[in-house]
Amino acid sequence: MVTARVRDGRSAASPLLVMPLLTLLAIFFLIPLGTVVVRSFTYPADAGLANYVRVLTDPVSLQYAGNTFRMALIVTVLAVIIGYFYAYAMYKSRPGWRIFLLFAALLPFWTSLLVRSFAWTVILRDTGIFNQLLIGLGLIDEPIPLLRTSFAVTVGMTQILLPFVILPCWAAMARVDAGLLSASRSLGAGPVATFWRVFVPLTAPGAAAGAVLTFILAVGYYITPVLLGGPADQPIAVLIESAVQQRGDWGTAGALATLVLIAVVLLLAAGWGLLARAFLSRKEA
Amino acid sequence: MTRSIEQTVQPTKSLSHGDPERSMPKGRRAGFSLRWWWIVPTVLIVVLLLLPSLVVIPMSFSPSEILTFPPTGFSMKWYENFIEDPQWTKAIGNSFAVALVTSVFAALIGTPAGIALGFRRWRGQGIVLALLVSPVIVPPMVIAVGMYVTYAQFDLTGFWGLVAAHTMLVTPFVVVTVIASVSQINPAAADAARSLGAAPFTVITRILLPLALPGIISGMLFAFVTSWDEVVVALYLTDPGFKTLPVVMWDQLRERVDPTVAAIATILLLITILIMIVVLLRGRRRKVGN
Repeated sequence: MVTARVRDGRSAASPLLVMPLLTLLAIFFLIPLGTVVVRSFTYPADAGLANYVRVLTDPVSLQYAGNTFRMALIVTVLAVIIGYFYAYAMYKSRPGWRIFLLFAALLPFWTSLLVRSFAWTVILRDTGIFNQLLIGLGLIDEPIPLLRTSFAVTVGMTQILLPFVILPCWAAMARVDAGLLSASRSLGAGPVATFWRVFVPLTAPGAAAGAVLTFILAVGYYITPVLLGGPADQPIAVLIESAVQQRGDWGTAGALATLVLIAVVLLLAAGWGLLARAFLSRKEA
Repeated sequence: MTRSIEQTVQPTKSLSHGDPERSMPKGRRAGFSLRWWWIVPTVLIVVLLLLPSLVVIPMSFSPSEILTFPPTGFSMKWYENFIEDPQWTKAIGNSFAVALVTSVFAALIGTPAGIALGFRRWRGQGIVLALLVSPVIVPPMVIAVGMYVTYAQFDLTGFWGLVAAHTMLVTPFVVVTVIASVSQINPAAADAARSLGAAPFTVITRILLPLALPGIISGMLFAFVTSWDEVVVALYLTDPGFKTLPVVMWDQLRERVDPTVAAIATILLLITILIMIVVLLRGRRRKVGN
């Protein structure tokens, strides 16, 4: 910077400006979370670690935990493959088509999650469009039961979380310096080598950020698995819900919630650098 | 394949010039993007993305409870049902009120935080930012259970309870969008104002806020839509006398397939598409203008 600074203008943006939000966040968000954690040790009063021991040795909660993380992993892998491909299609398209593809990626973002989960129940049920289409094409005679299966949850959650991968991938691709690609080509690399050895490494952080975000969000999903899944697809959130609503068992609910919270915080800590880079495109001073 | 040196050294930052294939002669470019193995999967993904949003349209006009394909007739009865049933109209009003108040609060407390985080570097910034955006990341069920037990102790349920909860959930969107727009501001503008005697408060109100306005507005839009659509926390904090639209929808969907939901979804979809077209076209015009 050449400008001689008589007074630093940045000082106007005092860090104290975060205090109102931080205070309210402490009262209305952190204290409630803290209460859940505290209850996991104090309900019943002499619980100590008993709730954790019970939850971690209970085959039911382990199975629900397995459901949650297995589904999150499958959905993340699918979303990254499909989302990266789609973002690359946007990158390769003409501007007009690119706007359309961006529109198609954003529309679900703005459509109610509840409505989309509901729409999948309509599409996938025995008399739904999907089975009608397969029967109409003569591929099957009897409708295949799709609703209340892992397939339905996988499709529904992948569709819902796809924009969270497409957008950071696309943002990373739009920033790629085309000169590097030209350089690679003119130095003798073929299109395939240029793609894998120049383009993919440059855009991988965007895809990784999308993957981290998708996985973290998928772990917390409740609505979609409940509406689309069968008994073997229900996530931990369902277990927390039933502990609170049906049994008033705050100890179990608290222990489960705390364990989920720990998992999410660890994931966030691991992926924070990637997320901050992809979603907060801050200009370095 | 050889390429001229100008293409290699061209500064290529803008989107429309970002692709080397693009700067090639027209025929070759078309050749690449028109391969079937490229188009077919893209079309399939577009179908996957749009189908759930669009399938509600034929369903909302179907005369029967069950959506048959192709549709067997045309009926507006689900729309009439929606307009005549006070349960739905009341829920829409409640949702709108909560989302509106929530997004205003989010802007009021999120904007200063975004300015502090985006315009200046300070120690501990990363931790504070992670803390501020954490409500988006923590599973909704965990938040809902915690708020349920805490807020109930202070009788904070219904409208104000939900506004408090949603404000926490959606403020991160305002913080992030304000950071993005404030970090684009040239600090020299603020330096000049300070040097010419402006107080820090004046710098914020006269320079930073006007320039951050697009970020604040898009953050509020995100905040509004997220609050409008939020189910899990709302299930815990609403009561029988005060239900929001997603809560009523959820009650209906758990019992049976109610095409009234499809009718409402269709109306919301049309509003969404209109807003998106306006936003996308405006964004495009701005880009062309530059």
